[in-house]
Amino acid sequence: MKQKNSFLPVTVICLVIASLLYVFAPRGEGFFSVLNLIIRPVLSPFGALGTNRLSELDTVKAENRKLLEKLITFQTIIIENNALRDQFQTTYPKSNLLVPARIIGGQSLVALVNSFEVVILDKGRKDGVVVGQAVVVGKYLVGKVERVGEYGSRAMLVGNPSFSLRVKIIPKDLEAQTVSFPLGLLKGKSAGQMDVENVLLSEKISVGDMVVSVGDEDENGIGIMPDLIVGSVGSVDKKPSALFQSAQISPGIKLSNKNMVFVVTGAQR
Amino acid sequence: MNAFFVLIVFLSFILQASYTSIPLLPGVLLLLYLFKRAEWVFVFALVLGVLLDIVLVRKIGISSLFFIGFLTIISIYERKLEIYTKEFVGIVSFLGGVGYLLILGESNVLLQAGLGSLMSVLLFLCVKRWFAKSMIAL
Repeated sequence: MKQKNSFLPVTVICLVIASLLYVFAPRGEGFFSVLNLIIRPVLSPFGALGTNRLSELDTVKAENRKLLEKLITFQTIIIENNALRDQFQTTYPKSNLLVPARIIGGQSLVALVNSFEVVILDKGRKDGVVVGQAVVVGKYLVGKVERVGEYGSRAMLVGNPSFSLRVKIIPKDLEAQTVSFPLGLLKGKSAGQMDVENVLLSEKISVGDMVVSVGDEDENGIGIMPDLIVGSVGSVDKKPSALFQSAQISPGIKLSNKNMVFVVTGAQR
Repeated sequence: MNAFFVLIVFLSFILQASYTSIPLLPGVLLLLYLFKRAEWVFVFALVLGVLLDIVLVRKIGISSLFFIGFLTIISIYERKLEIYTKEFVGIVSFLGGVGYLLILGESNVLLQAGLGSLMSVLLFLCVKRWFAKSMIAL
């Protein structure tokens, strides 16, 4: 058996190398980005396992999502009309630069059962991806970029317990004269579930209402843009004695059968 | 035994890099240290940590620093404790998992560390049962 003393030089050398890497190469540029390009194709088939399980039910769900997208577009138009009527000003349509990114890995507590809480994307700094940008599929918000490497990035999904976002709740039976909506704070829970909290008790929310982002972009257009669909209200927890009410949110989209997402770079806004 | 450990390390790396956030590698490195007792385990910890940080787009070196520190602490306390027991493996890999997840700022720390610890204990029992003859030399 080796003596414990013989480990000391190796341990010290390893600790020094790791410390130097941590201090001088935290972003993984140069050699490490090349290494990432080499390793990723090896891991990629494993990350893609469990996807592409399109069944008839999935097709129906996809159609339902498209209908919901149309509904939210219609509702957005109504809101814009209200704003025009009230303030005689218009909001110019904005065009966003979307960068398609392939999901090449993901993490959750039990990945095969739960949906991912974090995904690794194959687009990084070289493609214009920066921290804080929104990750979408269609008009659905799926997460935001939390770390960026040269050729890859890491996105925190909306169901991650560390994720939070200001949202508004749009009633399913929206009336034309509606100008304001209940606001709340969306928080991810474990296993990809979400809650909207801090909704005023006086506000009326019901099952099926749409939850959309309020928007938190900065002056450079980086952040989560407004009116992205997060999901719909699954159940409401309203206690007369409490200050606020909360609601459980059913995710608008599941990434289990998706290989591709889009990063909103905001470069051409 | 060598082939078994190569397989376990490879599988743990693939799972942690592509699928799950359960800390498998601290437990696997602990077992590797216990059953191999060689300097290269530290080098292995360094390389695995760097690769893991690269593929998961983390600050490079953070996992390596933790793994090497974790193994160093075990090497310091190994003479004071009975290390070839499932209790030691369970407790140490649990504490290692908790520390690793806290450093990375992950959620569900206790549950994930518990699952990682359970897997380490199961692997430890498998190694003890299947490679009993090899262990006599240790």
